[in-house]
Amino acid sequence: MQNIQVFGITHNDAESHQKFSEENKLNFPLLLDTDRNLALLYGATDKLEGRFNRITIVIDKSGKIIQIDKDVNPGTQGPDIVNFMKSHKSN
Amino acid sequence: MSEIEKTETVLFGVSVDTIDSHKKFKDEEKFGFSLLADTEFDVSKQYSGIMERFNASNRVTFIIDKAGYIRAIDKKVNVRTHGEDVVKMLSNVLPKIEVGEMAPDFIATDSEEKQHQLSKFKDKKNVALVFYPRDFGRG
Repeated sequence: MQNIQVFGITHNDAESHQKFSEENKLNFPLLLDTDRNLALLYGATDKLEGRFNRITIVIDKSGKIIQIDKDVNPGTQGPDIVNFMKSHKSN
Repeated sequence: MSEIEKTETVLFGVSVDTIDSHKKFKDEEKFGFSLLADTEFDVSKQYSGIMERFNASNRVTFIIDKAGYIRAIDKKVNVRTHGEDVVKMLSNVLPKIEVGEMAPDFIATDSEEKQHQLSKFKDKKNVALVFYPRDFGRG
């Protein structure tokens, strides 16, 4: 995935993120959103407590939103994003 | 639901007048929003600035999005068309999370304390924001 920068985002703190990243050998950054600003801004939650919804937002190089996926399959999420980018390019 | 409520926005009027004065003003004008009594000038000093001649807040409108970013500052408020102007401004400046719309910019810190700004990727890379429920456990 050279052409796309992935960010994982949830409300957990840096310590939890660090552990999660190491255990799962993640090769992308996890952003801290403990105050929920990003989730509120992008519609991953409308609450000040509880879990975020699983939602992926893909933004192209011009800064435009090109996909909002609210039906994410966590098992195939990586390949799903790659495939979406491939299909989007050919359009 | 008012036009402003439709944009999921809360409106506050702010002036340096007292609560009593606000109450009277509100009753007379039948406002549908809250008036904040900034009698210590705290909010006005930080946002609008003070009109020295009248020892009062300048007439300025700030639009703040759900993430706390200021998206618009209107210093040329027209008192007569203010309501309509605010509605127009809201629909122009508040980010819309829809395919085809511009993604709202943000700055965020990752777990290794590195800062990332969305707009820095412009013309360089596509970006995927993967929101997920929590670090560990199911769901």
